[in-house]
Amino acid sequence: MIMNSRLMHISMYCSLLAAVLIFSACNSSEDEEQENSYDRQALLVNIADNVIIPAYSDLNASVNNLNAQAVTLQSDVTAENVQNLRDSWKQVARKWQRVALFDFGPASQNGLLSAFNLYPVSADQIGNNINSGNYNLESAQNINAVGLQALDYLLYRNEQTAAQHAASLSQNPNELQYILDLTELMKFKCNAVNSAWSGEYRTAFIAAMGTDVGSSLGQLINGSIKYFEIHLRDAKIGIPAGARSSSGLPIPEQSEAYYNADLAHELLIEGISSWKNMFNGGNGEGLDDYLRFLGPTFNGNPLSDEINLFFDSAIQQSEALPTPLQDALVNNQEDCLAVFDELQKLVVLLKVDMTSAMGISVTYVDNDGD
Amino acid sequence: MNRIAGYISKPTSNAPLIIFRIIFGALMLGALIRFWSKGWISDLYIDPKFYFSYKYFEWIKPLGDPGMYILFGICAISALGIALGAFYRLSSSAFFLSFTYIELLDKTNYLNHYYFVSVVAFLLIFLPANRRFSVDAWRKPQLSLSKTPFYNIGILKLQLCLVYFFAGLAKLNSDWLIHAQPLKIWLKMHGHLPYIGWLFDTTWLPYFFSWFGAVYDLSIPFLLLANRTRPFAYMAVIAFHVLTALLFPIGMFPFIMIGATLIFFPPVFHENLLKKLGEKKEFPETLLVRNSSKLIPFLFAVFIGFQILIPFRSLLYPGELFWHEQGYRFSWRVMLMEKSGAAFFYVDGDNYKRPIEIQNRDFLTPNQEKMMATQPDMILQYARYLQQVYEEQGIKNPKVRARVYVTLNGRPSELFIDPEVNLAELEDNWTNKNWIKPFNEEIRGI
Repeated sequence: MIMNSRLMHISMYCSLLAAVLIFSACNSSEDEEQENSYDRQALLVNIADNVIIPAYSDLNASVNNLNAQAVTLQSDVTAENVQNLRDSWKQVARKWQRVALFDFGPASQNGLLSAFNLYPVSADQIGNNINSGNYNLESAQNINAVGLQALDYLLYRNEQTAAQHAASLSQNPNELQYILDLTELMKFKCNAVNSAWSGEYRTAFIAAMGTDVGSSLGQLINGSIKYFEIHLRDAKIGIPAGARSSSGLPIPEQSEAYYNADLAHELLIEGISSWKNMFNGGNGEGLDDYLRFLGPTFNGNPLSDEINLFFDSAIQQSEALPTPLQDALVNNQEDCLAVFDELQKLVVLLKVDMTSAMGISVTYVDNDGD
Repeated sequence: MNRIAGYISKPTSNAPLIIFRIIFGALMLGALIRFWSKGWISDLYIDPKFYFSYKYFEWIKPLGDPGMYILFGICAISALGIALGAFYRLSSSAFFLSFTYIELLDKTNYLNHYYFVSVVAFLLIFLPANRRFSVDAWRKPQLSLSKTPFYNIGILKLQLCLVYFFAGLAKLNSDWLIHAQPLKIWLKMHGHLPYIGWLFDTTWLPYFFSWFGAVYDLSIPFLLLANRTRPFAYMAVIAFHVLTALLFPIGMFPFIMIGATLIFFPPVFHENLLKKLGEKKEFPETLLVRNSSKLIPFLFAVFIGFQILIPFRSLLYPGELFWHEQGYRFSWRVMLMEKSGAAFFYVDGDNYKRPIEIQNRDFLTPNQEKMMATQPDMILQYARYLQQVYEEQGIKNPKVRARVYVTLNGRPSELFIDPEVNLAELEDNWTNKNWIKPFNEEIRGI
């Protein structure tokens, strides 16, 4: 830019003032404008304070607990402590769904998503790390050997009872250490993101009220739609259901929480509900309200209502799938693909209709237009 | 006929041309440095796996790293050469060729103002804009001239008039004038600004800007040409372009237009400007025009003929231009559409149980995906590319189909192309793309 932003603002105000004067001179009878305005800051404040920050602080408490359980287990390998760790893991896996979509700002700076929940994991890489006892969990080659899904593999792969698992772990100090290191990494990352959100990032978030790529709404929507496409629609259901494989066959081993068959189904539903919850701003001001102010329609109804209908239908169809999800993927493949299609329709409404109505550019890079 | 010839070749001060050259070269240099510093060379011309080339220009390929940096380097140095009037013919040719090469690499990055730059750069090759206040005239004083046939300045004015006028004509449609779209969507983006934010949420502001923009574009060529209205018109130019620069992410374009339209001012203005810039040389009155070629004005006439015809080629296609975009580029249609889409591609092979759904991000950058999703020729190019990729993987006769949803100027999204058509079988040519779904509404106007 040729001018600095201060000068830009001053000249913008002057130009606008001129425009207003000219217009109001020609048209002084019109007096309806004020009622139309929308408080974007209230939207950001609500989403930050009542949706994002509580979700992070919840996750943070659970991750701290997970880490504490891993420390306890290392010092005292008992069936009870194995069970406590497993329970704590499930807590974290559920809470994670509530924050996963906020893949922007502190989360993307800290690589939270890759430290927490990329899958499928590589059993070989995990095995090698444990055997060698020598690894850097943040290196690129370990991207499929960390996080919740690596713990899923380590805690549940042999379908052992807690007592059996405790017995085998007591023979394998390297594996105990690896489990602890995984929880350490997650704790470290989560603490960083959580403290950013409870501190200076919140201030920045509620202040950047525009809709350009760098604005809070731009980041929130771009980050969460990218999450929706890659980590929700594709990872949770599309890829394991075989929508993207040339064989056309389901690949259940690619699903989330593969070794913990009962939970995967719940995580899918929780993932979709979390997005819906953000869209509606919890119980407060959300994207739905902003859309209602802007006024776009779809199928003759307000777009925000339609989006909620599609969310409900995706959630219902997911709930109707039999559990465990790994069996449903094989035995009810068409139903699973139907959920994928339902999510696909939501992608259209969110990425095309919603962003267009809000004037938000869906690119992850900044660029000129004309 | 002779009177016309006499009028257009009448010797006139070449100062406007000299100032134009300096401003254009300097702005281009600035634009290229800005582009480079934002990391866009690698984002747009090195990182992508696939490029949406232009028909007949498929041979234009990205040059990789460091090739692209070298090309941008050549482009920037030749822009500097234009500004300084150094090795002018070489600099202007090198600038035109390198800049146009870059622009022809990928349709994704098409912008009307890049097209404008290419057009002006092409004209500059033939214009004697280095005869004064230039390194060339300093090196070879015998090159120095103070006058030039009028057509060498007139051609630039005419080109600028065409840009504005066509941009204005394109605004005469019901979406722009009656529904104030897409400004109704775009202006709301600024509703958060302190003190004036509420203005952007009003109903009347988008209407005011739409009508003002249309009247501005259609009338500004005439207001700039007439002596009496020019100072007022130029103030409008500054206000209009500064406002668009502040409100919309359109990069350097406003500044290019503010600089370029100075050419409408009379020679005395530019003579004074040159004096202020430090030109000391006195020109003898006798030093007029040499080598007044008959070919150049003829070439300019042909060029302008094409410039007038090209924007109208869209009339050859049935249906709504904003929807099918056949003949949309290279026509000065600026900022007319808020169009966005989502495109899902399916590849089917003979032995497939069901078509696979392609993850576009495996092949395209987010920006390419976004631009492709609303432009049928790019959808087709991408489908042909997918066909090729899957053939290379050993799939015989892969079929490629797409479900594409597009929203235009705030309308609900609709199916954009026929999802049953095997795009891999189709040729991209000039015939009407009848696999584009008809637009269900009507946008009246030009």
